[in-house]
Amino acid sequence: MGNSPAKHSPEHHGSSGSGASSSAPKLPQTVDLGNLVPSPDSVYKNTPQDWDHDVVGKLITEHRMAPFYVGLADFDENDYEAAAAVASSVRAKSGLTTTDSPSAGSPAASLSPSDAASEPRRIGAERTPSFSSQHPPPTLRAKRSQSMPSHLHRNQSGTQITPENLYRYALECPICFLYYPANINYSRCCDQPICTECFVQIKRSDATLEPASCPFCVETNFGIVYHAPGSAEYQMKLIQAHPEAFSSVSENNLASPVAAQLSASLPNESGLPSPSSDDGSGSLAVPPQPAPFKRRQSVSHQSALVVTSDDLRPNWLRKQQQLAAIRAANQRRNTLPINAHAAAVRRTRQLYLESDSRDLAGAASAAAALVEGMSQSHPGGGRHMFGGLPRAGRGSRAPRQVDVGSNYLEAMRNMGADLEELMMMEAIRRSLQAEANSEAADSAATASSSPPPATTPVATAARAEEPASTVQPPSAPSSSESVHVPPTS
Amino acid sequence: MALPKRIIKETERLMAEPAPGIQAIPHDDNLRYFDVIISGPAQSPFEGGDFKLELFLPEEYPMAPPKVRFLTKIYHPNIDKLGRICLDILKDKWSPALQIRTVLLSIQALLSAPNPDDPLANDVAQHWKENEQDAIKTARQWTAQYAHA
Repeated sequence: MGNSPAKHSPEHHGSSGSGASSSAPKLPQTVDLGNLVPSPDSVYKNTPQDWDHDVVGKLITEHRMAPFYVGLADFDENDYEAAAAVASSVRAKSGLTTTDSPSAGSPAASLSPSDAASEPRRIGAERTPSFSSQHPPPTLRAKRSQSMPSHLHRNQSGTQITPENLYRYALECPICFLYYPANINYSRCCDQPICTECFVQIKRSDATLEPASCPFCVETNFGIVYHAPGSAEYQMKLIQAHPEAFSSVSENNLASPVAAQLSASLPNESGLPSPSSDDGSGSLAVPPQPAPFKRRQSVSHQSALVVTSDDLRPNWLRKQQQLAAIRAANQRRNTLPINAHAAAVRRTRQLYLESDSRDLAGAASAAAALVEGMSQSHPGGGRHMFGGLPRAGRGSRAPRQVDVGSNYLEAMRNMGADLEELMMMEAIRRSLQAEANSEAADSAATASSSPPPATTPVATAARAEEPASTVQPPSAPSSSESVHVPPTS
Repeated sequence: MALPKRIIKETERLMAEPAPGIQAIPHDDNLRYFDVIISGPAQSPFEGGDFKLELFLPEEYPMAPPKVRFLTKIYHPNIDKLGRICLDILKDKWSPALQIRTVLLSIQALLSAPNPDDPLANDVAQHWKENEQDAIKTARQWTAQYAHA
């Protein structure tokens, strides 16, 4: 994972992770008649939304990805106004803002003041690989419109979105099969449409931690480009997809740059990505509605115009470490998105309650989360996994007599852990051990590389409240006689 | 819980334009559960057989792959005794752009091209590697014995 795209995640992380940004008053509630958050009724309402909402809100506001629109199950292109009405009622029902800001029609109206103040970029510079600005391409629409033929700009009927014609050229997202307004995202590699709700769901595999690959052409480092309504690219796509509706434009204005580009690209009908399959077994789906025109060149995932899956999860590096810790204890179960050790502990309790105590897998996950909480709060490491368990907010509880002899239980009791918790942990430990034993053969090969455990669990308990500041390297899977925490540096 | 539109549309399209040699019909009481029949491909040892499978779309579908299993016994190096299938797109190579149709077509293709180097059924794979003609013969026998309606 050395080739992490460090494009601008630090900035995003810095601005989104802090409490200050939660007050961010600058973001409008709607952009181009869409929203910054998915509808509560969205396709993925039952899926963890583990992407960074602040980052996504900012990207949408900056017109770097499409806003969330209501996806329509059915769509009649001859009655797009009805479609808009349906969408509008869904939005109203789900409590989303339905009115755009009054000045939204003007090109840069919805950009935040700070963005508008930064230096405008020329389109020609958009592939700058060393992009590292805190201000992703601002006012692209405004800049683009300057070089755009006036007849294509704004007054062109059908290309300026209004609440009534929002769904006029609706597209079906090839993943959720719902219809969205034409200003949809396109994969950077193979130029296939993908709605924002589906895009934010795509992420690194929990199992391999490889960068997400394109669902359509399996190119690695999945990312999208987006062309907001009013931009030349947006209009080009509309014209290409609906040549009949724009025939007067393309016939009469072949001299204009846009139309020239268009006519150059029209003869070639092969818009399909070639499925790349491994050893013949993995043929990929052909999107149901291939773009009926030549697809553009692939855009590098490092381009400033591209939003990658990693961009939406600036904390993936930390998550990666957590997963490494979890895998050290449990090589297969690793689906806990945990943000802080406190959350991990809370989550663990919750998990435990949710899972039947005889459910070894659930218990193992819970234990893994505990280990994770430990490894963050407990820089010294330790072989007694519960030695550093934070006891925040419990105060001192009178130690009870428990007839258990294990050293770590003793230690726990001295720290004030209660019986219920001790029993739970013991259950977890046993189930984990059982699983570890069954996997002993697998991990035997790597066992020799696991570091010697530290030995002072209780002494470090007082440090449990320290924030985890060290970046830990992923640990090699260790043979787990008991639970191991990853090595710390 | 309401069925996602994608599943409804996929089902409709599967019924309207079934892939050759593939039939997939959802259960009335659980529209995420499909009874599947794949015809053994021509020129394969499975030719002439109708293989029953079950296919289930988990809650996370299409972000997670469908679960597919052979119900009919089959002698194939990438399919084990329990009918589990060793196919990358059913595991880490899954993509949400894949569909029920493409998954079943891939399984059909797997019947035409057994891959004993990436086995799930070790004994079958070994047989295949050591004496392919004999293994194919066994596969034909199994097809005749188990996969004829």
